[in-house]
Formats: sequence, C-alpha cells, structure tokens
Amino acid sequence: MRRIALALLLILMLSAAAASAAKDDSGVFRIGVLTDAKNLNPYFGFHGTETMVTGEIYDTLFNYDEVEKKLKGNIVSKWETKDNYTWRMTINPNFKWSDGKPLRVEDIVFTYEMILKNKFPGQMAILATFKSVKKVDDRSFDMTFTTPAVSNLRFAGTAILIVPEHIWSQIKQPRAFANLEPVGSGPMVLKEKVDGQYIVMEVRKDHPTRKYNFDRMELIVVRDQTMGILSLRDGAFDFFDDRIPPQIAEDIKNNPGQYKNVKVDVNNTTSITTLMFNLRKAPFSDIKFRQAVAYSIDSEKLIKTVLMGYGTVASPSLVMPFVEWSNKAIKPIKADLAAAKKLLADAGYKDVDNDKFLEQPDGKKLKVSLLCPNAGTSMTVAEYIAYGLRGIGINAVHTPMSADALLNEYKGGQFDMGISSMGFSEPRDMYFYYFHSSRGELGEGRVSGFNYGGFKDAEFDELSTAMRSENDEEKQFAQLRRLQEIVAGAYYQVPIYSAYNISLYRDDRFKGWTSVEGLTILNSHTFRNLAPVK
Amino acid sequence: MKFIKGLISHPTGRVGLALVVAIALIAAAAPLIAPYDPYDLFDRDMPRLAPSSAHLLGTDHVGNDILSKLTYGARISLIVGLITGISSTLLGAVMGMMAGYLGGWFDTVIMRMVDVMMTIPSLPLMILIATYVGTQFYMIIIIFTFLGWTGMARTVRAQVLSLKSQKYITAAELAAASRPYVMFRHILPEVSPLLIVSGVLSAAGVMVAEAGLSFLGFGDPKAISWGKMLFEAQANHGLLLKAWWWVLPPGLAIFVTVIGFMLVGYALEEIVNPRVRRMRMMQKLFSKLSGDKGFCPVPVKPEGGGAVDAR
Amino acid sequence: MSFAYFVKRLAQMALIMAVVLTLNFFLPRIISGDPAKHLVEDPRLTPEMKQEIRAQYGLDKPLVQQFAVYLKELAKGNLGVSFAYRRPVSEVIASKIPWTLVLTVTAKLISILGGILYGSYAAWRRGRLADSALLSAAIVMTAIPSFWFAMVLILIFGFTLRWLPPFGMMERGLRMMSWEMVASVAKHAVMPVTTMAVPGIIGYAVLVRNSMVRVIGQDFIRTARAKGASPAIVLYKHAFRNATLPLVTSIGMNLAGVIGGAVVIETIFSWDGMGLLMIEASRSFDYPLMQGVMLILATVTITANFLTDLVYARLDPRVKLE
Repeated sequence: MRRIALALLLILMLSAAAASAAKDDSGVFRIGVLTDAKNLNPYFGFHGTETMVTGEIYDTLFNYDEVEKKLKGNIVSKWETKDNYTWRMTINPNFKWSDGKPLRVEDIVFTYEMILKNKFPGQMAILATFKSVKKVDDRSFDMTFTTPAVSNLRFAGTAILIVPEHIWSQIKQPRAFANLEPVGSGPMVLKEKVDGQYIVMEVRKDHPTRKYNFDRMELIVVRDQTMGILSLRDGAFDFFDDRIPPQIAEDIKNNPGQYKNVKVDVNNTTSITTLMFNLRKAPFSDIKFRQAVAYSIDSEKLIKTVLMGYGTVASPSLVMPFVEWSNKAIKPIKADLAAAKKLLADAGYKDVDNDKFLEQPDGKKLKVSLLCPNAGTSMTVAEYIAYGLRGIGINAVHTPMSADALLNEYKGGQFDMGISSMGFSEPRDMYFYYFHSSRGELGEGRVSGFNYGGFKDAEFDELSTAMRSENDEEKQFAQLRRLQEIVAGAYYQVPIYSAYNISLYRDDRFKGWTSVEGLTILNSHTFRNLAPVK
Repeated sequence: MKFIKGLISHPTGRVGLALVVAIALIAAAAPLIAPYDPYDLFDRDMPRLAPSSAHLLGTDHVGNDILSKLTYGARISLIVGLITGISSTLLGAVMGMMAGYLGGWFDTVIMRMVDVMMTIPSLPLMILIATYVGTQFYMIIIIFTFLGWTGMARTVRAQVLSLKSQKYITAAELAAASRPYVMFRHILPEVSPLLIVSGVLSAAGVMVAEAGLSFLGFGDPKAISWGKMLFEAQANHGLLLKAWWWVLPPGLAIFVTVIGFMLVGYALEEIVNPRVRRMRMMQKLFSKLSGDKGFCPVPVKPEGGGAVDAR
Repeated sequence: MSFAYFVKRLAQMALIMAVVLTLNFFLPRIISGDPAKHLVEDPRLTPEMKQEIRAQYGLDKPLVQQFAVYLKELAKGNLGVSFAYRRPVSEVIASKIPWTLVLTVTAKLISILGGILYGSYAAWRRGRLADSALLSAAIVMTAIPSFWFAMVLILIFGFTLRWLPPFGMMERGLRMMSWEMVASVAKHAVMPVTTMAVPGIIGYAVLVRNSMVRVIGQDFIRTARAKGASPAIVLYKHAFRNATLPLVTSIGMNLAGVIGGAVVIETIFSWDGMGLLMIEASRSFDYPLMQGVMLILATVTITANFLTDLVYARLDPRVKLE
C-alpha cells in the first residue's frame, strides 16, 4: 500500500515538474475548437477546423479581401483576360514549399488536373464552370472557363488549395490520403498533431504574401461549449472558435469581474433566418396568403424574446444593408395583424365550420405544418410563429426535426413551409442559385438546387442569368437591385431576423483583434494584425 | 391486488409505493399544481430568472417556469418509463413463451435473434433512427422496446422449459387444448410474477436511459421531460451560470422516481420469491440497471451489460 | 467438454457473425437512404457530375452488388477507407483502441479489485454498517445518471479546486511514450476513471459479497476457523474461491464494453477513444467507419461470450455444457 502511495506521489511530482517548466509562450496563439481535424487532405476538409488548418498550410491563387471587397493576388501576381473565358495568369516566383523546393507553374496545372481526374465532390462543385488550365511558360499559365461568369475566378481561384506535384504525383489514391505530414507553401507548417487532442503549427516568417506576427498557433480540441467557455475564462485559449449564445454575452456584461480579460465581439452577419413557403402547393401558391403570414411575424418582438436583443431586423431583399450591392430602398416588413386578417378575408379565407380556424376559399380545411430544426433558437422562433398564425386564424403546427431530416424534407419539395436561413454577399452568383427557377425543378423527386420552394419568375430568370456574366460592376449592381425587388415583392422567403454573431476572445496576451462587419473576429485581418502583447 | 396488499405491508415497498403514487398524482394533476402552463408560449416570463415568489425555481432560457416544467415533466417521464417497461416485458414474455413452449424452429429462430440483437451495438443504431425517423416520445418507446426485450425472452424461455414437463400442462394438452390457449391460460399466469417485477425494474431503467439519450440531444423536441430539462440546462450553460435551481431539480426528480420504482420492484421480488435474500436481489437489480445505463434501458443480458458500456 | 459441442458452438458463432455482417451493411442504408447524398449535396453539381462522384465511390451499383464488393474486400482484411479520416478504417480503429483501453482497463481493474476488497469486507461484517452501506450505495448509484456524476466532478475538481485537468488526454509538446507523457495521461485519466470505477466497485462488491456470504456460513469455513486460521486466510482461501466463478462470467460478458469504450464519459472528457469514434462516425454518416466499429464490437462480443462459456466449463466441473 505504501509503495503504491509513493509511486502515485512520484507521478504527481513529475507532472507538476513538467507543468512548472514552462517555456516562454508569449508568441503562441491558442484557439479552442469544438471539432478535431480528422484529415489534412485539402480536398476533404468537412469542418471548420480542417479548413482552417489546411488554409494555413497551403495557398490559393487568389485571396478575397473582405474589407476592401476585392480579389487580391496571392500565388498569382498578375492576371488578365480578353474575352472573360480565358485568363492569362503570372505567378509570384518567391513561393516555396516547406521542404525547400520552389512552387512552379507545373504544381498549379497538376493540382487542377488531379481534381478533375479524381472528381473530388467538394471541388467539383466549385469547378462546375472550369474547362482547362495550360502552362504557357515557367512563370505563366492560361485558365479557361465554359461560361463568361465573373465569379469564375472567385470560385476557382480562392477555394482551390495548390499542392506540390512532387509529393502528390506519388500518391496512388488521393481520395484515401489523410496527408498527416503535409508539405505546403502556406504561412504555417504542421509541427505536431495528436488525434482528437491538439494541433500545433509553426509560422513561416519568410512567406511572401501572408505575414504573421506570432510564432506558433495551437488548436486545442474541447468538445463541449460550456467547457470551452470556462477554459477561455481560465486563460487556456486566446480565442474560442464557436458561436456564443446571447445569455453568455449577457452574463459577461453583468459580471466582468468573473471574466477578466475576456472580450465579447458582437457582429452583424449576412445570414438571415427566414420563413420559406412551398409555392408549389396551395394555399402558399397564393401571394395574398403569403403576405398575410408575413404580416403576422413581429420581428422586433422575436428578437427581444428569442435572441435577448442580439439581432436585427432584415429586409425582404434578404441581403443585409452593409453588403455592397444591397438594395437599401427595400424596407423591412412591419407586423400588422389587422392587415393580415383583411388580406385573408379578401382572398376568400373564411371560418365556415366555426372551429375558430379559417377554411380555404373552396371550403376545404386548412392545416399547415411549419418545419424547423429540433433545437436552438430556430425551434423557439417556429413555435412563436405557429402561435402567431393561429392568432390570425391559420391552423399551424410547428414540426421540429433533425437538421439532416429537415434538409431531406426541403429537397423532397413536398413541405408546406419551414424555417430556413441564407446569407448573401460574395460571390453574388448565390442569388441566382437560390431563386432561379431551374434551381427549383423537381427531378427524380428531388429539388435540383437551393430553390426548395420552387420560386418561379420569368423576369428574375432572365435578369439573373445576365447578371452572372455582367462585367461592368455599375450595371451588375443595377441588375442585382432589380432582382432584390422581385424577390421582396414575391413573399417567397420572408425574413424573420438576422442574429448577431457573438464570439469570445482574450486581449491579455495578443493585441490586434480586428472586427470586420459581417465576419467573426477571427478573420484574415485579425490574423494579419495579431501580435503578442509582450 | 394481492401484490398491492403485499407492497403495503412490506416496509421498503411501502416507501417505494408512496413515492411512485405521489409522482403519478403530480403527473395526473399537473395542470392544477403547476403555477404556469409551460406549453403555453405566452405564459412565459423573462429568461433565466433566479428563484422568487413568482417563480419558486426560477425560469429557464426561454422564460418558462421551471417548477411548472418539472410538474409537467413527470408526465412524459412516467409515460415513457411505464409503457416501455410494460411493452418490452410483454414482447419478451411472448417471444420467450413461444420459444420455450412451441420449441423447434420457433425456438431456434427466436433464440438466434436474441443472440444477434445482443451483439449489435445499440448506440449507432439509435442515432440513425433518431436522425431519420425522429425522436417523438412514442418513437423513443418503440426503440427502447425493440432493443430491450431480449433478456426477458431468455428468462421466460428457461422458466417455460421447466414448466413444460409439469403435469397440469401435459393434462391440458391431452385434453386437446389449443397451443395458444395453453400458453396464455396456463403458462402466462405462472410466469406473471416474474413479469411484473421485471416490468417495474425496466421502467426505472428506461427513465435513466431516457435522460442519457436526451443528454446527447436525442430527446423529443416538443415534449417536456426531465431528461430534456437536464439537456437544456446543460446546453444553455446552467452550470456555467451557476443556476442550481435549473440543474438540480430535474436530476433529483429522476433520482427520486427511479428509487421509488426500484424499491417497489425490490419489494415485489421479495413478495414473489420470499426465499431470495436481499443482497441477491440487489445484485440482480444492479446488473439490470447499471450495466446499460445510458442506452440500453432494459437488460440486454441477464448479467447486464450490452455490447457498449454507455457509462 | 466434448469436441462435438465445441464445433456446434463454433458453427453457431459463424451464423451469428453472418447475420450481424448483413444487418451491419443494410440497416444503416435502409434507415437513412442514399449514403452518397452527403457527397453530392452541393446544388452547383450537374447531374452528370453527381453520377461520376457516385461511381467513384462505388455507390452507383445496386445495394446487393455493393454488399458483394464489401464482403470480398472484407475477406482480404480491408475494412474500407473512412470518409472523414481519409485513412483505412482499420488504421483509425487501431489508433483509438489503446486510448480506450487505458481508460476502461484501469477502471475495470480498480472496480474488480475494489469490489473484491469491499465485497469480502461486507460479507465478513454481514448485517453491520459496511454491509448495509453497500446496499444503499448500490441503490443510489443506479439512480444517478452517470453524465451527471461526471459533470459534478468536473465542476468541483476541474474548475473550482483546479486539481485536475477538466478534459483532454495529455498536455501539448510532450514526447510520445516519455515519462512526462505517461504522467500527464495518468493525471488526465483520474476523473474519467473515477466516474467509471465508482459504480463499478459497488457492482462487483455486491456480486462478491453475495457469493461469499453463501459459503461463509458453511461447515468447512467454520472448521477452518476453529482450527485457528486467521480470518483473512480463511476468507481468501475458501470463501473467495467461491466468488471467482460469477466474477469471471460477469467480466467476460462485459469484455466488449472494454473495447467499445464509454460513450458518454469519453464525450464529456474529450477522451479520444472508441466510444467517441463511434458516436462521431454515426453523426457524420461515415458509413465505412461505422461499419468497421460495429463489426469489431460484434466480433469481440461474440468471441468473449464463447470464451466465457469455455472458461466457465473449466472452472466449474459441475457444469456440463449441454
């Protein structure tokens, strides 16, 4: 017994010694993450952590600057086109792989061709309009697309990470390659990775474009939100990579003494929570009915009760006003129960059988189901909306289901209405993908795109197709503004609110945190500005 | 009736029965007892209020009165526990009787089915079902029943095998009684004490299991149950915000109810089987419940312990 | 035990294995529908691209044909490649098992040892305080949800007293298999092991106590004591022998749990073992991985049951296996 006690004591002392022999860690930037990076294959990252790690290990041809709102060269230093189909690009010769070899045009050609040959699912979508890439000389190459859409470069240039040919050409099955010892050209190299525990990366100070002022970045896996917040409070991380619920933000505001050095960043996002109707079905095919439903939603009250004030009303254009191409003339819908009731009565909805609920104009019973996720604020909001609808005589019930089942229902195209969310900024093409009628067609019982409710408008179809290949930004903005008017007037997706993004960080070890509207505090600008306090 | 009388005269049984009856009464009279209606959206106050005279246990993250939720929660917890306890025991009994009495192919097929069910890890299966079929509380009952009948089937089969050779069964068969008739008329009453005890214990186990399932986020999204209240408190940082009035009561409610059921089961076993000693019963109880805590509510094996130790 | 019996049991094992294999393959696919749908979700993909991606993963063929391919690969020892890890499933599982074993084996050993000690003490002091405390402890432990117990431990020892790390398996920057690393892992394992071992000790204690009480009153024990043997020796030499049989059965039956890990505990403590792997595989619809984990668990369970039967037959000469 005594021997065991002695051994235990020894172990404890050893571990205490290990803990006290702390090195200088002032240049180590620590992030708490909820999921581990399971693989480091740049084409199979599913979660935020995976894409965060590969994004620092590898480079893309271009970067998109969220503040200046424009495309900036990264590996590519010069690019030009005559016809919008083929781009001639010149590379920056100073990029080096972490094994010392220089990054060559061949690596770029190899990367794109490998993706097309192996048909990686995630990248195939990005390269949907991609045709070919050809080497011109040692410093330049041609990239060709099948359409003249201006977003082509944004899709193909900022989302595809370039990998070294001398490593990847040896790999027989890139789809079954975990890439746990990655060789990249990016601003960081992988030092250590323990599955499910942590990832340590070291900054390469000689990177030609992305320069960081700290020495190391550590990602620490913590699987529970409460524990992540507690660890941040105790100083184990400098940032916790998760959306923080409003009640925690309130708690920190009320008890600053308990959260020393913890800062709360509250920011707008482009994401808008909406109520989506299935226009394929009655009564939702009737715009008067949809409008009446929209009038029953009191956004301001919902923000107060459900989000504790951490959100803002959104306009039916579904584009937040700080987005460059938003149509600011479109105003949010005001709740108006009297108007809602009048609209319903005018459209012929009457309570025929005196059960306190309205019947359809043809006398049929009216009962609608409101689909929603089975947890979180979206479910609470659905509950309130269903309740509000019953208040104006529409018999509505909310039906919560898992995220996966919900998507299944939406894709099946047979639902009544449901809670959805969307965000538009860049690339502008996404507006096309959500509302063009071709994206809402039912094939083999599945909706082909994001237009789950089957919105159809001839003017929208024509104008949005033109918008995609419009090079003159002025003209494109005018088109986009008109498109927003069409969407707003159709009452297909009615905005409920836009919830703020709340994140937590500490400012005692690092300074340079940069808040950018519409993004979390951990954005590319923060990365660039971040520097140790000491 | 005989059991209830026995329970009342049994010291621990009395305590258990009192607890169970009290909770059943609370569940039945919830609308009368609860100060607010937690299912009514507009009967809500500000979120996360500390206990006060208006809300004896404060309010939760959406402003619902926690005391009212606790009272209404008894309904779902009891319904899920009782129905699953009864249905899995009955299913197990019928399967066990068929295997034992009919023998032959029935026996082989059913017993191999039991073997297979015992080797399939139940958790991934549950997650799949919960994701695609939904987690309405009747689904939870169906899943638990489907996964929980095997242990009972084995026990009943063994019992039936020993009964089969007895004279009155043979006599009934000679009198040309049909097989189902013999099964339900003669064999079922013989094994019924066993079923009652097992049903009560399963109910207790299911209540703990429902809490475990809810803790991983697979509770019925529309219903209020104690397990889900715990999940909500955890997911909305009840611990971090030090809201003990949010975190403790549902845990205590589960605890008290489960103990009530266990004491009843324990006393019943003693009444049914007076020769068995207390601790032996405890061993049985313990292995029945603890091995599967979390996922497999009802015993997977007579010895307890599924393929996955959910602890 | 006859050779014929052995063969019969083996055949039975094979049959169960075959059924489990089939269910393992078809059940998830039937419940959730198309396994490829998570791969071809993006609406920008054209129908031809979707078809090509399906073909790449072998998901374009009919289910039965996919099953045939699966069996053929399995025969070669190939469990497939995990969707999320992009590594062979066998490799992923092999990397998690040691971590789970650290936790479960330690907890099991402590439970068994503690259970034997407490159980024999309670048996010796039958009817006294230690004995009745065991009964109450057993009732209380069964009614407390284990995740609850874990959360309370974390709150007290991890965040309030700060004696122990609240989550994770080891500190950063330690050399693999160095002394510092072992010490760090040991420190991180204290809380999860405690959460598992406390109910474990009580469970085994009840088992041991009951087996021993049965013999303590018997003549040969009384004789031994009358001969002047010390209580400890009597307990160990005579009474404890009697308790080994149910103990072995119970341990054998729960062997799969040792490999399968403890799902809730591993989730709460961020312990990267089999339990966490299983729940993550199911949540992210990583079919090859899910299948692999289920297969391993089923194999261990079936084998463990088989071995337990054999050991049982060896230990207890009275038992004739059918």
